[in-house]
Amino acid sequence: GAGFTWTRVADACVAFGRGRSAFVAMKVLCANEGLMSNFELLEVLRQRTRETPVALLPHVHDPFPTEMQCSDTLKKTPAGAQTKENLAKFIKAVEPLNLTPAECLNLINSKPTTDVEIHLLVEDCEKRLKESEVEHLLKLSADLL
Amino acid sequence: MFQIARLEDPNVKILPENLGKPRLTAITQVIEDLYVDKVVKDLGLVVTLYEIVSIEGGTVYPGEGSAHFHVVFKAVVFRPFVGEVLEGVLKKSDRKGLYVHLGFFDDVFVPEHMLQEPSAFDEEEQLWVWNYQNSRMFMDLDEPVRFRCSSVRFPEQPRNAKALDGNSPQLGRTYEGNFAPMVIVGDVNADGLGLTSWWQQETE
Repeated sequence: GAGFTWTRVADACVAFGRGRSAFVAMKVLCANEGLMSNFELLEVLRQRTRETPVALLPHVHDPFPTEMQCSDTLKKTPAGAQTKENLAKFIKAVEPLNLTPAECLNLINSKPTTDVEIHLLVEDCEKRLKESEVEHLLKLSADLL
Repeated sequence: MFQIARLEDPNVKILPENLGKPRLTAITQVIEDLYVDKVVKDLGLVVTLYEIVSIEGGTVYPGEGSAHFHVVFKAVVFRPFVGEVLEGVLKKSDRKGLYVHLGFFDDVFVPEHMLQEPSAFDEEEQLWVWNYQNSRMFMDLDEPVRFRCSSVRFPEQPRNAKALDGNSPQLGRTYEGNFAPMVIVGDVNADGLGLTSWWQQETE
């Protein structure tokens, strides 16, 4: 298989050398096992940054800078105020609209408030959704997301 | 924005001084140091470790005291899908286009040909302007911008600084002159995209 190189996003130059030979052997077994909504990631990061007591992994260190930045950024998005119950209700409520999982994810992450946004997030919106359905989506978005 | 990737590292090395720790703790530490906040080429930016799936091995090779393990683990990777609509902050503009930051990721570039039509670059203000129905809508810096992910690129690392300088933003040259191993190319060429202030619902 092809070797994978790694680089730190924030740095100016790639630091080759120590540890590189180990990295070259790394393989991506599955690039996409599933999409993750901002809310789900925020839940995971809350555990990493010790906001909640239960952890998936032992707390071995303080959170990495990226984890903190990610957590701070996501808290300011709609995900910061979402709850698992409401998201489950939302997903059930939009089932009859036949949205793709990607569209559903986009809606959950963005929490649209205008018609224009719905048209942007749902492909071929005019053909697939009636005006009443767009209104309904906006109401669901306001109530549950 | 995020997906879960399953990765395999057949050669995770635990140094002798760490062999006293519980195995899971030591391995988690090494994996996180190696992968978190790094860009895996053609995959994305590893944001955090999700779970360790399996650990095998513990081989000690002659001549050294470290133990080597074969680990399969899942990581959360930042990688927007094509067509995903995201919101960031406009940090810089120049003739080539817009540079948008996402807070934890700074290399989003919107090339000038993917801006709302018709747009023009105002040299005096050094800002892009959308000429919409006879009003000039300035794309001010530090404003929230909604854009659509057009492609995700993993440019090749150039051999030296001089080669980097000649590259376009899509090839990984940031406006500060650094190398970006992952670049998101966006477009704002549709209703609802661009500055979020342009599309806010007017109360009736």
